[in-house]
Amino acid sequence: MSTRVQTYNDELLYALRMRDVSGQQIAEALAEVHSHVAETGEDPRAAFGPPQAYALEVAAALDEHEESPPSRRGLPSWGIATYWLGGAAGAWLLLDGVLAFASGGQGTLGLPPVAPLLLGLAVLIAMVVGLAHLARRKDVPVLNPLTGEDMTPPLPRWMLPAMIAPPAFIIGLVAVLGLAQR
Amino acid sequence: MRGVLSLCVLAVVADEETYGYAVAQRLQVSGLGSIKGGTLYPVLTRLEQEGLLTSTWREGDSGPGRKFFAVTPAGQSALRDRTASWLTFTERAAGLLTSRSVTA
Repeated sequence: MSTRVQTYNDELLYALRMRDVSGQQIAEALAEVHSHVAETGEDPRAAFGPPQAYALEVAAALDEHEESPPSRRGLPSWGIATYWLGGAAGAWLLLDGVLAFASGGQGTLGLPPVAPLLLGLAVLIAMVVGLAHLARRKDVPVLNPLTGEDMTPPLPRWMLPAMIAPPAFIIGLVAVLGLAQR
Repeated sequence: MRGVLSLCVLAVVADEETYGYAVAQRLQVSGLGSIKGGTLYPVLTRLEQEGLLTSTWREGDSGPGRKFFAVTPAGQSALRDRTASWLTFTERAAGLLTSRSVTA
């Protein structure tokens, strides 16, 4: 499979997964893309549109004749907000612990530096593990309808930016505030 | 237009068991223009979900394999009914449009 198709299918897989499409239906959609572009030589984005938009089309097609279609709204806004708040809180605690260690003082809550340091680390690790679980969903395998091979990539491309964004935001904010005070 | 496209796709598959790209080619040859994969496959999925088509994956001579579609008895029946409805609709629409152009 060419890199273009692989990249497109990886994004499509996670876009469909976020919309609660079954593993079998995801595998069908991915195999259709692969088969079609192999026949036509087209760019998958030109043939099927952006993966997020095509995932919506696939989900709508699956739901049209369902009496009570499942909710496919994707990741809810409260989930995204919780992720950002958790990431920011974890990074804040971690930073607080590091700064307290460096200055030889105490953490914000009067705790020894090791407490916020470990708590912040635990929060960030829990969030990464949770996000990876959500993305991988090993309980919903996506098996190639022809070969039976698992089509799930190791981790989606958006994982790294998604993991880095909340801590980077809070660390950047602290740095900006620190510079402004000097 | 999606309803008509769905009817045309059903008609193509009813002619013979076939796969997505071949359906797109047949539609193009029939003068319906180039139908993108992003439009065609959701139509095929809808027809399959409706129970009008069935599908089977088969290995191709080369490449990743093809998903072949075949019409079901319910699909044959739906094709007859929907074709009749479409023809009635187009006859009435043509009658209306023709009478307007004559009187204008």
